[in-house]
Parts: sequence; C-alpha cells; structure tokens
Amino acid sequence: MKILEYFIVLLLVGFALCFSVAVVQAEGKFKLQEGAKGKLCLGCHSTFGSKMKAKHIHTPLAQGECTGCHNPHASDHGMLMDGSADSICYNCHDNVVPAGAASSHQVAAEGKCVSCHDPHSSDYPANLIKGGSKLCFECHKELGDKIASSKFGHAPVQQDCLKCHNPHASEKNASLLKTNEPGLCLECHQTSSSGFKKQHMNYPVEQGRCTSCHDPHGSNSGAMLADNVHAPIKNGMCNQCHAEPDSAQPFAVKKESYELCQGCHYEMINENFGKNRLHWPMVDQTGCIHCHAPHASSVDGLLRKPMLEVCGSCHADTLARQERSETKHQPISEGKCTGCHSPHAANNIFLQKEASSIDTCAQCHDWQTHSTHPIGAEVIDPRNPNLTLDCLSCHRTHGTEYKQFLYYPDVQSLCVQCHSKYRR
Amino acid sequence: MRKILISALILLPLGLFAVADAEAAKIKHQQTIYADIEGIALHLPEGVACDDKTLAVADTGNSRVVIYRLEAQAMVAKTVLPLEGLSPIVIRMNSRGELYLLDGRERAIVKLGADGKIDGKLKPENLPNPQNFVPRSFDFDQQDHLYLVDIFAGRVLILDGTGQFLRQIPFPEKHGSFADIAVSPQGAVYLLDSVAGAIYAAGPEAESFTLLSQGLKEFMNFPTSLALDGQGNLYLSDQYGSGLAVVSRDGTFLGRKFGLGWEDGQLYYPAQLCINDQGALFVADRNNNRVQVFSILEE
Repeated sequence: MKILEYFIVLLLVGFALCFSVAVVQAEGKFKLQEGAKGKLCLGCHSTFGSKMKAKHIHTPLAQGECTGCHNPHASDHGMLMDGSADSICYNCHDNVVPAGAASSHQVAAEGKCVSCHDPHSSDYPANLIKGGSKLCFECHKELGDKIASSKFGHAPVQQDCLKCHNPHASEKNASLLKTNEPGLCLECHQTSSSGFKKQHMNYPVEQGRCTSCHDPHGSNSGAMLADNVHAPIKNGMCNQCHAEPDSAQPFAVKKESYELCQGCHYEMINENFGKNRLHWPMVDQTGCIHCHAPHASSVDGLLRKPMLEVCGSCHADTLARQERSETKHQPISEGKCTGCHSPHAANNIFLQKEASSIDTCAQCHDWQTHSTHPIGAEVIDPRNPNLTLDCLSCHRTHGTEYKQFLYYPDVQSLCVQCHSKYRR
Repeated sequence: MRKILISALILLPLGLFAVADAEAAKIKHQQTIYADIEGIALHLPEGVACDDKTLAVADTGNSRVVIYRLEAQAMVAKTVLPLEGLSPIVIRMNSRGELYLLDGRERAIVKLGADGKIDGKLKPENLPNPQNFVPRSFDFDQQDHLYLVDIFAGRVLILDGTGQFLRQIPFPEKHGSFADIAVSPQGAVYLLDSVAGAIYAAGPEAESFTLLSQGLKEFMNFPTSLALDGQGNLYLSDQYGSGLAVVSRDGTFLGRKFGLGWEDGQLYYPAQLCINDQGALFVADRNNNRVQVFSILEE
C-alpha cells in the first residue's frame, strides 16, 4: 500500500515539474505575452523590416528572440544590451577563442565582434559586414595595399584571407594559421618534382619554413621571395652557410652565432668589435639572427620585423614608456631607433651614435631656437658636480608621463630643481 | 581552549618573524663618491667591487680603476690604476683581494696584479666544445672559483683560480638575455635575465638552473646587475628604471628602493652593485658619474 502512495506522490511531483517548465518556457524570463517575442519588438522597431530581408539573419533574431541579447526594460549597457557588448556574444559563441590558443585575433579576444559581424543580419555569410578579404583590409590596410601592388601575387591570398587563416583564433598555430607551415603550403604545392628540387638546390625545404624565404602575401621579387634577399640565397649558394644538401643534417650551419656571418661581413663585424660597447645579443648563442632574417625579409636591412618591433622585443619597457608618454618622440613613433642609436656597437653610452646628447638631439632640433638655457660641456649641473647640462638634464628622450618628455609635471617644478631659491 | 591559546601564543611571534623576513630591509645613504684622490671626477663608472675595507671602482669612461679604503667610517680615495685602451664594465674582487675586470672592448676577463698593472687575460683551459666563449659577467665563490656567464655557448663556466675548466651549467632552455651572475657563500649560483625579468638558481653541485623568480618586469624595467646580502636576499640594479629591487632568497619580490634623480639617494641608470660583509651596499650610479654608498639596516 505504501508503495502505491509513494508512486502517486512521485507522479504528482513529476506533473507539477513538467507544468512549471512549460509555463516558464511559454512566458520566458520577461513573461511576454504568448507569441509576442520578437514580433512584439518589431511592432515599434519597424526599420528592422529591411534587416529581416537580408540573406543571413542572426539565429536569435530569426527566431524572434530579441531578448537573447537585449533587455526590454532597462540595462546598464548601451542599446539595452543584456550584458557587456564585449562579452555578450560569448554567451552562445563560447568556443570562438579556445583557452590557451596559440594565436588569437585581437578583436575577437577583446570581444569586439561587431567590428566584423552585424549582430542582426547581413547579405554575407556569417553575418559579416563585408565579403571576403575587403573586410580584413579595413584594418590591415597596409597589407591590402601590398597584396594589390605586388608584382608576384599569391593566388589564395588574392581570393580570400580565410584560405589560410582562421578569423578568430588558432589553437595550435601562430598568426591565426589554419595549419602550420610547411603543412599549409604543401596542401597546394608539390615538392617532389625535379624542377622544385633544383630550384631549392636539392635542400629538403619541404621540412623547413617556407616563409623564411618566401613572402606568402606576394612580393616584387621572382618566386615570391621576400623583397630583400640575402645574397647567398639570391645566388643559390645555400651551402655557403649550411651543410651540403645530401648530408645527414643539411640545415646545420657551418659556424655558430656571429662567427657564421663574420665569414662575409668581417669588415662590419670587426669594426664593431673594436668599439667600447657592443650590443650583447650580437655575440650570444643566437647572434645576428636575433634581429636579422638570414634568408629574406620584407623589411630593409634584412630585419626580421619592422625596427620598432625588433628593438621592442627586448626593450619593451622603453617602448612602453613612449606609449605612456604624453608627448611622442617622432623617431620612435616612426620606428627609427637607429636615428640615434648604433644597433651593433658604439663607443658611447646607450649605444648612441654621438658622444654628446646635444649632438644627437641637434640632428633634428636646433636647440638655440628651442631654448636659450645654457647647456654644454662648460655648464655644471647644480644638482651634481660631476654632470654638465645637456638635453637629458631636463628631458627623457623615450618619454615620461609629462609633456615634452620633462621629468617633472610642469616647467616650474623642473626649473626649481636647480634654481632652488625660487622654490615655493 | 587552553591548547588553542597556547598554540596562538607560539605561532604569533613566528608569524611576525615571517612577515619581517618578507619585507625589504631599510637602506640608508652613507656617502657619495665623486672623484679620485686628485679630485678628477668619475666618468660613467659601471663597476664596483668591494670587501670590508676596500672599494674598487671601474671608472669606465676614464678607462681606469680607482681604489678607495675605509677610513673613519668613510671610503677615501687612494690609488688610481690606469687601463689605457680598456673599457672596464664589470669588476670583481676574489677572497685574496685580487681584482678581475670584464673589458667591454675586448670582451675578455682581465686580471690586475698586486701592483695594479694588467696581469694578463683569463684564458680558460680544457674547455669542452665550443672552445670559443664570450663573457658577459662573472663572479667568484669562496674558494675563488670563477663563474663566468658565457653567452656565446649558453652556459656558465666554472673555472679554478688558474683558469682550468672544472664544470659547466647550461643556460635554461627558454630565456631572454643574461646580464649578471652572483654566487652565494654556500655556493648557490644566481643568474639574472634582463629581458625576461627573471632570476634562475642552481644549487652548489647542480647541473642545471631552475627558475627562482619570474615576472619581475612588473616591478622593474631592465635589471642588469645582481648582488647578495648577508641574509641571502638578492639586490638588483634596475638600470632603465633607475632604482634597485630586492628579491628574497626564495624568489619573492620584496620591494623597490630609490628612484630616478640626481640627489643623494637617487639613481640615474645605475650599473653594478656590490655588498660587503658589513652590509655596506655600493652602487655604480653610472649616469650620475658617481658611486653611492649605503648601509643595509637589517630589521
């Protein structure tokens, strides 16, 4: 008998539970009238009519679930969004940027999805604002221009960036690549032909990194080699630096670090070795290729990346100071570190080209028109008997948190450091 | 209840001790050294070596070493050792008071004789491959074994007093750029990575380095020199941040000291540090063309 009672209670509870779920589903969290949902919203938001005619409509909108993203009553976010604009998309699209991804698209990682997608509808797949690579080139303009003007183009690049790149993130590969190189390249390029082998001096390049010589976005050099090609590569003399192609380790280099480069660049290296201060990375395990690409580069001087990025890879603190600085120093903004510094070696502090900071600054600034404050080797710094006044007495060239790279918040505070009788 | 109270009474002082230990010691300015015995100003001094009674300054910009001796609680200039053609950027003193310096121009370790003259370059012998090496910095242990940061081959070479190879410790696999080394009296080796803002450590007989402290870039810009105090705390000279940082022997960041400036107790692109057994801290205040002397006040 007790068992029967137990089953009846269980049955009633089950019915009650099913009923309550059905009620919640019908009314939703905002208890809308039955059947209202998006239809009710469109009653006022009539301009959405055209949005609804687009080829691709965002699923919640197509299903009339405006409340999937918007709160109909009140919100702390613009457009009555039901959450922060930079995170609301992740409520549904939570796997767009996998945790620990090897690379991620900045806009996706920052939740700026609407930079590329129309949250309601679009005539382009995936609700993109524009079709194909045009959208990518809105931000990556310089790359777009380069691709358009390259004498030797790469067909997939001209078709669609997404042939090679994931738009949001790549779990395992750098640069948002779908597959790492050389695998990605080998999906299209056959390497077994005798012509291919001959062009690559019989080195097993299919095991290497194609982009160490070729610019995948196209270039003005034949065979889509990057625009600046190291002479041995240009001359097909890979074995000038590497072991023979049929050896056990064909990519092994003949000497280590700077010693390999010294074989040809002995004059430059020896000249720098005679100076008081050497840029240490030049002589460490990695040597010259810390900064230079050994095969080819799209940057002048065979730099691995634009100068600011190369220098910033170690001196991030210095560049960060410039970023924070209220006043920007033009040579740094333009990535011309070598305007003032000698990148290999110098006899001067900070590897400056000139011994005196006055001479360094005078390359661009005519100080007599800038200020008539006495500076120079004869003018002792009142703060320190061992210093003379120069540009760096008042300015910090990579920036401070104050204007004109001053060490102090205003001119008054700066001047009274020396002219102490005027201190308030 | 009584047990709890007794436990609390025992643990409270221990907790306070732990807190005290976790804080950086106070540092008091003692002296600023501007010149040699003849009043000739220091110029871009990058190196300082010390013991309890002597300070040797690598006066880099003047290509010389200046020796100071402790007299009446102050360092007094005594001798000038000219090093024409050399660019001394690191200087160390072994237990016998002998001076060794790293010449930035030749990238060689140079030994100075008792008379202050150059007594030749260090020539390591019986090195395993590669034979070539590039010294970035060095230090001595209590047996006067020399620990040399060889950035060319990515290793720390350990040599005896005559330059004979004893052993080597390879650099850790992933690293930035090593700038300095310090060896504790117990033989622990500390390696400073300027670019990554990290310190690696190896025990007295260890064959590899392990990461002691990372993420120091959060607290400093570009540390270039390392010194140990009597408690085993590590003092770092933050060259581009114009200050010092203190890290405990377990790698915990304890705090920053000083800031950029020209007054006593302020630094302007400091270089090498040295701490003697008396707790005197010497800083090559490079771009202020001077050396500052501080005392570390243990609490």
